[in-house]
Amino acid sequence: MLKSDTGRWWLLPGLILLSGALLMTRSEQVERLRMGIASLLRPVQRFMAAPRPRTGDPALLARIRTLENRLALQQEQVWKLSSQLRSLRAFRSRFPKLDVGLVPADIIGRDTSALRRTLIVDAGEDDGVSVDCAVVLEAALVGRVVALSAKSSTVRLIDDPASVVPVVVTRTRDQGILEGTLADDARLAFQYADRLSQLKTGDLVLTSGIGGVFPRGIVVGKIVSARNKPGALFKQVRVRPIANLHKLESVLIITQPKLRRG
Amino acid sequence: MRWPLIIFWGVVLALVQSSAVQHVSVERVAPDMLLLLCLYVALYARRADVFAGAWFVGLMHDLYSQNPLGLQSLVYMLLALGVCLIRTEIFRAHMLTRMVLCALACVVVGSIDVGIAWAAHPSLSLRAAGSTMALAMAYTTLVCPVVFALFDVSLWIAGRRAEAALA
Repeated sequence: MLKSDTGRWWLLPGLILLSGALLMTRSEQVERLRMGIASLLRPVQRFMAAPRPRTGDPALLARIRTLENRLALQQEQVWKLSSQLRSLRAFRSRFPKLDVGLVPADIIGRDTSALRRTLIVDAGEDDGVSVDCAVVLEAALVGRVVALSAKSSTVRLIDDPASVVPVVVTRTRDQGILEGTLADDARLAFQYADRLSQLKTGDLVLTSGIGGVFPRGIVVGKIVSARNKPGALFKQVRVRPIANLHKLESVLIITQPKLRRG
Repeated sequence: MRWPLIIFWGVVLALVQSSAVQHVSVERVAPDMLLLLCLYVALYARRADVFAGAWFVGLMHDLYSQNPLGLQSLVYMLLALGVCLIRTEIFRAHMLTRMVLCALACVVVGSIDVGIAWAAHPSLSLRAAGSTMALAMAYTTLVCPVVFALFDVSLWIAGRRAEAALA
């Protein structure tokens, strides 16, 4: 088939080799390449994610429609600013001694794959964001930054299959790792829970601070099921996130956390 | 179908897939528009352009995803190879043929993606991943007639009839 057309028999194996080379390239270089190319179209993404005013009727009520559209846009702005203020206040009241930078960011895109849970937000290196910054919404953990460009970042949500969050249960002090499972209600798997632990439904789960990526003490979720399966090495525990990951519109990115003395 | 159209639709659909189409998503699941473009390229592009076109569409998919770069390019090329082998034997313009082909392509690509995701992330719930992918693929098959009609119109506007590539 290939040979008979134009003699470009080398095309298929060449493309397969190129894809293989891309798959084997180091992840930081690949992420830099991916973000560099994808960031060329960020302004268009931002435009597509922005709210649209209703189209006006150019006849008799044209002026009224124009004013209504302006009002709708201003209401959207007010809502966005109130939401950011509420989120900032909630975080500050939870962590009064934590000296952090908080960068509000709007969501402008999502992962194209149905099996991944990542977001693209409109805050990047120029805003002080760096890789591995924690991302929250009203003091509840949402994810972390995994790649960034000058004006945008990719955030991996906590229910993404590749997400790993070191956590601790407030009541029993059991430590473990939360991993995403793609379950419908964004349930997370609490790994390495001791079979003899006294975990039960309703227990609050916070970040433990181990690993240095997520600041300690950020609320992640509540346990919804904890049971011992016959033959399993660890207890099977499921956690539902506090943040509503299905309806995210804007988030807060934590930059440079350090504990203030006094 | 020539390169300017492939590049145009590849870029537009990558942007739509990552931004606008989320507004019509169901349970955080949206149709895979780039898969439809890959299928259309495999059906109607010149034979010399099919593999490179499918590779480009897969690359656009990978650019706006956190999957390994190059993964979807490989998968789409395999799909294009399969479709290219049978395209002269089927009635490509019939809507039923297109939908059946789309459904089969969705099953193949979905199975590969779920298998790779499960191998890479053992904590992944296979049932949840499978049902998510099944919903995405059903949604994709449902919008297939509309999207293909859009491609047909663009092909006509570009001055070429869809069946002119059959040779």
